[in-house]
Amino acid sequence: MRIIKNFMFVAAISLLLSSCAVSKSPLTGFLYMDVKAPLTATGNSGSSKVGSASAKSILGIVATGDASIDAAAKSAGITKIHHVDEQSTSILGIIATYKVYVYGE
Amino acid sequence: MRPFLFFFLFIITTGVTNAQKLSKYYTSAMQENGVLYFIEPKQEFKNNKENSKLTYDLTYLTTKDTVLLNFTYLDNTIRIIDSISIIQGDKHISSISKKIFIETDKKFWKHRYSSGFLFTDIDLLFQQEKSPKVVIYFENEHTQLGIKSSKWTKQSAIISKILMLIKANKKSS
Repeated sequence: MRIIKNFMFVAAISLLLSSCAVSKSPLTGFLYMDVKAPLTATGNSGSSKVGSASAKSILGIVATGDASIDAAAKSAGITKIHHVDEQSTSILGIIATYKVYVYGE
Repeated sequence: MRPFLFFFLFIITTGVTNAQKLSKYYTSAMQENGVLYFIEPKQEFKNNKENSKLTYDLTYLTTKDTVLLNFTYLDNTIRIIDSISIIQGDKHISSISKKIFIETDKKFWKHRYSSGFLFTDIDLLFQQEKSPKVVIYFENEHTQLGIKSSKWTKQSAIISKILMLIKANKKSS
């Protein structure tokens, strides 16, 4: 009975917090989230460079960063984009990050 | 009191599980000419005296011999970087640095540069337990940045494991 109570307590707190810091994702995980997904693809062929850019949110109160495709491409000197992936992570809704990976030449 | 203890144990457990997850530190993409790996270490090199920092990432296409080391160097002054050296004991590897861009980041100047190193040299570097020093050479001077031993131990363990994975996949292909 006590274990169930404890579990319900953790679940309640997690649900409360998970409504705070969330990041864009095709799937949602209340307790923990680490999801990679496609964002876009182009007709350009081949990649030899990868660039990344990210933004972070804390409790949904403060959110900072530049997770644009432009920032990610610029970080690796990419001028021809092949495809773009995104990654969303969140732990108990306390910290959430959104990251963009750009592949290209 | 016990529910709180249970809650904090849960958070710690989640954090530890998360820290051990290797896929968090790299991405891979199949290409016509091999597999493209992108490794992003979380730890940075610092020079507390000069208040400068260096973060880096590694890009490697399995059909090539060289690893692309892209780095961001933060400094109070605007610099023109010539080359970068990594010194570990009596061994050192150097490479010419190519500018990607320079921009401002609050009170710092953000220098983004790219250098190429041999895969075998990078592999050997992350197998060493001793933390290395990074030397950035400017036009007329240079600066040295270091990393805490504990941070290097954690970082080198993760990256050497990823490099091991890359080598294993190269063998089978």
